[in-house]
Amino acid sequence: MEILIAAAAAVLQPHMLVIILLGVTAGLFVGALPGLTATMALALMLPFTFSLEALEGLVALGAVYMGTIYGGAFTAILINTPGTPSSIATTFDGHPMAKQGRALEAISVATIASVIGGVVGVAFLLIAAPPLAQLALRFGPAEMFWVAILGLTLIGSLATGSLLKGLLGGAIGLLIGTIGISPVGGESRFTFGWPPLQGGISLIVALIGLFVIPELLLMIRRGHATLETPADLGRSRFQFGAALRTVLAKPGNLIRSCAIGQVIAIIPGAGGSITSLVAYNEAKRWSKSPETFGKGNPEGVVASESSNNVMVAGSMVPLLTLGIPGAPPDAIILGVMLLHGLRPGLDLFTQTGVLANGFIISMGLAALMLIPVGLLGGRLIYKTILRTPHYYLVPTILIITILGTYALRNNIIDVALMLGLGVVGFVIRGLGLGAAPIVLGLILGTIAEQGYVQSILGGMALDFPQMRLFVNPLSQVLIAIIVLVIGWAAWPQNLRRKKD
Amino acid sequence: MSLKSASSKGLFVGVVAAFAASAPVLAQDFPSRAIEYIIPFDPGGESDITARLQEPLMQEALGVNVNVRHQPGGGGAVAWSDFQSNAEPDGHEIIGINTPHIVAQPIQRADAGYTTDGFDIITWFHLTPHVVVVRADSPFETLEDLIEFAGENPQSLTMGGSGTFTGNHLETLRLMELADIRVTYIPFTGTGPLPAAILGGHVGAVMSNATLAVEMGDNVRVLAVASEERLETLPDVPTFLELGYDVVGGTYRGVAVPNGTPADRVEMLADLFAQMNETLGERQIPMGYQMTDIRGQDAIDLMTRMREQYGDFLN
Amino acid sequence: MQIRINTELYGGLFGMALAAIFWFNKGNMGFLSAVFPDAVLIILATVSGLLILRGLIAGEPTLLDVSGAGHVISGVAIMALWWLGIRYVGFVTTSVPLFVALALMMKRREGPLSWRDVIITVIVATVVAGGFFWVFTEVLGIRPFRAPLL
Repeated sequence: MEILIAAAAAVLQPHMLVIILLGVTAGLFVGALPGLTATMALALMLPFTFSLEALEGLVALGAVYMGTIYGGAFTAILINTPGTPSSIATTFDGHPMAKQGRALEAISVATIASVIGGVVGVAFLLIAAPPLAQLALRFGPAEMFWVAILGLTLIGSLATGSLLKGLLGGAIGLLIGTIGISPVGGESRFTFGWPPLQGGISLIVALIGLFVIPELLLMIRRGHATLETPADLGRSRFQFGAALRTVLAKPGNLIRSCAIGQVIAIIPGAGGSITSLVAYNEAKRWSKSPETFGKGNPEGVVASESSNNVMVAGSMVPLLTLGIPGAPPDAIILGVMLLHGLRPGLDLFTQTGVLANGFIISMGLAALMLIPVGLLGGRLIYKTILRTPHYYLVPTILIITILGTYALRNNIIDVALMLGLGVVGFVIRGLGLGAAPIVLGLILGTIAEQGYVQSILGGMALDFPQMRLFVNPLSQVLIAIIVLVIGWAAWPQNLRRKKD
Repeated sequence: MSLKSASSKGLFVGVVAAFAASAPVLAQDFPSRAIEYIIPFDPGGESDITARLQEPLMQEALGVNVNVRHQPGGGGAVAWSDFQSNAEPDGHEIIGINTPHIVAQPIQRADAGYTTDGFDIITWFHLTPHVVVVRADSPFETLEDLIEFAGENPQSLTMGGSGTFTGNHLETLRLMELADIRVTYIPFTGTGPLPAAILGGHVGAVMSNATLAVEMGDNVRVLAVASEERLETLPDVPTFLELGYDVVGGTYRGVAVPNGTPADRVEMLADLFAQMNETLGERQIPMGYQMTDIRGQDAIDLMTRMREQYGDFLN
Repeated sequence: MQIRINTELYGGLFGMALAAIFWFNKGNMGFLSAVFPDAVLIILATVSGLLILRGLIAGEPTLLDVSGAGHVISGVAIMALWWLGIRYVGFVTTSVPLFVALALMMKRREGPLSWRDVIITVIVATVVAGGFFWVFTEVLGIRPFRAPLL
């Protein structure tokens, strides 16, 4: 407790608050630009943090991280484009809300949900880090394989229309993910004799290509913007109170989404990309009126945005206690910690407790600062997008996506892949193949492959190496969940409900 | 005043002062614009963090901007092949290189897109020796225990490491050959997942870099280190040589320019990296790095030796 | 304009074609690299096959709105030119004219263009392309494009 108070005192300094404010603001705009990820934002800040004290540096990184994940919500809501992979699910209901002229309401809901998620994640980290860390260690290769399979069952609800088409999209995503160096075998495959393809098709490249470019082509085709202008823009307010009531009206949804965010955050390597999808899926499953999802139901936004912001602090659990980076941005934070002579472990909370706890508390503060920064920034971005004529908006977004995709890996080939995938994505969207199942397949393919092949390798001494996938208790629990999920979806009554 | 005298003066008055002192002297015709320093891996790794530490020191010494850029993909191959086909050989574009990657990939892949000899190596500036690590409560107290178990139970001991055809993998293969044992090597994507693999008991042991062993502290037991002599930071850990196995190796990191870069510029950059090592060493040696300065013919010999040591495993 | 199209049949054919392309470019892979893609290819081919079957047996043609297809093709062409320009000419020198072309193409559908529109668009294009280029290169630190001009 003394450590906590000392840590809070160290963070509640004026210059610290300024660092957090600047970090959150910068992160917000970076996250709102398609192609610019949290990883990139943190990497850019590295040299800057070297000149700071250890705590200041970590606080700055934490604030930017929190801001970026949240900033992804804006473009998701306003132009149907997830700024970061973790806000894919925000597009499902956030954008329909914007189309109905409820963009500011959607932003307010997203903001409140993000703040709650961020604070809950910090609370988990302060209270329950050691047991959560032990849980994280249980996820070995076999468990990861089943996690990926469980994730793939999401296709059932992501598929708009026919399940077969959803499966087709998922399989295409899995296939795209195999391009490049095979994660376990180490050989290069499906490069079609072209060396640049060794790098594979990065998730973000596919994400931008499949989400943004079709949206732009749609605007080009229709000749008008997809966003509805509310009747009286001047008077449209944040509707903060109404949004707060919306969020709190369904506490079950909120609690469930936060719990999902926390559990997925500690599974090493699953990353934040699927948290929001899982939370969204569950929100829809447990809702009394699942048919309203995808048509502008704020609950969908709540589920997505609360879960993905839990993940920011949540992924610090394996990082701080075990030195396991759960998501790519965590690797950078780990690097900074090591440079300052901080070794991950439970000692971090006792011996250098002021530092570790100060860092954690600062993330809570960063989450709280999302309210003013997010609402003002959100309104600014919203008005800019709304007032820009569509014929300037389309080429501008195109320029940003081109630069953002290039910035990702400093690779001009990625830009070509992004544009190419986008055009193909536009065409197959007409055939009923949506982007979400493809991206889901791409995210989970590598995890599934690694888990499967590593498990088989680990079972080489057994008669049937595949048995390795089934022997661990946690694997069996996961298999049971998978059976339940598929069974639930296939239950005749639910099938009928879905059709209605 | 030559660079050499600048650096010896630097030893006297402190390294940073030397950077400042040498700056105006060097500002002749090189560098005439910002230096592009490409890191062919993701941010946050050891290559990246090292480059980020070098960045401000280089800027001070050279008097121009140094831009560290990431171009990850294909285990480094994407950046290396782009670099060899497009970079200007004038010293303003430099790229991070690693062993055994740049030796192994062109042998093992049909489409690596670059060649080992296509680089002019400035210097290999540091090395992270390989180590064999087990969890602190593992029954293997010594390397001998581990080798004995693996000898009696072929393939049932699993050994994790970073990637396939990487240093960790090739070193495991070499240990298997020398000790006449068969373990199952399980590749992970990079060093990041390895702590979880050890602590969670998903693998029996890990072949990794000394930095990981230092980072994980008391949670693990380090059985052997593949350096010539014991490491300062791990004084109780025997070397493989002491234990009777000729396993010496690790991941060398260095920087390179395209073929045809003027030799005096390569020389000057090599001096600069060697000079920066003195500052970096204060931070990095306790983390498990060994600072080196292997350049010119020595750098080429190093790669020839690697080809001999590991070449058989790659075909 | 609307066309009727059997989306299940064509979706299935697309998946099958993709599976075939990858299948014939597998090359020589070891077991560890091949086991997963093989499984994916089998799944893809199966799902595609089922879709084709369903499309043939019970396929109901879906009405697809293809009005404005000409605009889409122009848009795609502009994107292709954009990439080629960035790669071989220069970022700003490519982006400004193509920004103008795309914007005017879209604006023209609202009514005839005046010279004033053209001038304003050129200014906007220069500011946007130059501004974002500056932000990305100077502030966010991307590597300069390997192209002869700016």
